Amino acid sequence: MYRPKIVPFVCDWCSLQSADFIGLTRLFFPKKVSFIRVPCSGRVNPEIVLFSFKNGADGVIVMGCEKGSCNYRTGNFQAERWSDALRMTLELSGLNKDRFKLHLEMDTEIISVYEKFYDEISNLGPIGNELGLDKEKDWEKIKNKFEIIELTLLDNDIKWLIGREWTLVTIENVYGEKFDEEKFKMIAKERIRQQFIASEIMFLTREKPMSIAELSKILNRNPKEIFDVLTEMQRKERITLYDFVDRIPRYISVR
Amino acid sequence: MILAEIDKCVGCRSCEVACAEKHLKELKEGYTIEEILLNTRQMHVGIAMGGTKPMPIQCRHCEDPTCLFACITGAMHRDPKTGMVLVDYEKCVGCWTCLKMCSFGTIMVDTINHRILKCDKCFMERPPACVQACPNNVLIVEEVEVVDHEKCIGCGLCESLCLRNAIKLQDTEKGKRAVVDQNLCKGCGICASSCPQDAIKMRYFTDQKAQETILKLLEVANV
Repeated sequence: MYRPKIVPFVCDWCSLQSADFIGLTRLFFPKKVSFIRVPCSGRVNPEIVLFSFKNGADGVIVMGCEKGSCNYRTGNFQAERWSDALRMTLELSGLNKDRFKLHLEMDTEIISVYEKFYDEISNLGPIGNELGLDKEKDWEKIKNKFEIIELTLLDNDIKWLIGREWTLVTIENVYGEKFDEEKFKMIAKERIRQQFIASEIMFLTREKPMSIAELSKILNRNPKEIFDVLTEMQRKERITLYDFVDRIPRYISVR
Repeated sequence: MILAEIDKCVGCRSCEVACAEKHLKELKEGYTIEEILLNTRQMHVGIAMGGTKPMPIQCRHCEDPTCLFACITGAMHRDPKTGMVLVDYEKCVGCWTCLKMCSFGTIMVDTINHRILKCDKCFMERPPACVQACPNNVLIVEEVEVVDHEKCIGCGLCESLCLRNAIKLQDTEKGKRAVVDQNLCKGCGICASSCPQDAIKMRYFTDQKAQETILKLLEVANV
């Protein structure tokens, strides 16, 4: 029988206390479950989550306090922002976005939440199932997908955009203006989508130079879309012109 | 941040004595030394874990202090500079409402002067008296989060996220850089996880440790 590998992170204040409460009241606690303790749900960042996916996890769940009752005030708002971005990039790369879940609620039924997630992942199957890839045979392909996601989310600009969102939307910027939340989300979504294409190009041109026609064929995207991203990347010095083959320019990424 | 490793604590109470010695201003006549010691200490060694384990108990200077809301005269206040919760002894009347409200049992009673006693972190002196006196290194002052000034570019993202004012931009030799106030930091790690330049490092709950536990957990799940 298929057993999914799940990495559960629990916040020190609500979720771990409820897990502790299960032991104190001598309720049933399954043997298989073991949690990873973190001080706050805001401490878990995309880097740690992607590390567990890259090492063979089928699903990751982060459990934290209810929204607005964080012990450190900003922690779970921050967690919500980056989890939205992570789910978006998972969807962009073709994987199921339900493989990552952020559960922000103040409840003592932590085991039932875990078991519900376990059942969901069991139904989805091993990672790569939704793309028609076998987890053991095509492991390299799946791992490459996560590397592209890592390039996207650990980019300085994206990290800054995700981190600043809460302050810009709820308090104000340096000019005393307040951003509209939906407008900000639209801009951030478009920016992350662009960055995702850019990191795909960066990943492909790591070792050998490629032309725009080749890139659009592999990535299955419109050449104009790729050209727009390429000019932006050239401006930021992420990619340079390598050589010309039959008057067609080829590009290579800069380390 | 003052940390306590309660596994090492043997309950010798030298921290209590050092605390009393530090805050003792004058000896009053007509009282024994034991009584004076009991009425001048600002922290105590309590019994935890179902009456089996001694552990030092100190004020945590909470984010939403119940003692501050409970105070009827306004003697309990938050110091705007340091963010500590302190008592104004001119205003304190000894009603002991804060004593009932504190959920950690950290507030002590002075029956001689009829007022309450509460940790002031030895007025930001480092290390405080209790830490200095501990023979087993149970109480330690630790730098929980450290900023690498080579990597930091002074964008101010961490400052906007920390509502405790523990991390702030300050003028240093290398220009504007983020500086952590270790007395106010509670070690949540929000700034460390959202720093775009990876300049902030944590001493506890590090990325390496998290990665080790993830690998172990995935190994166990395989069986």
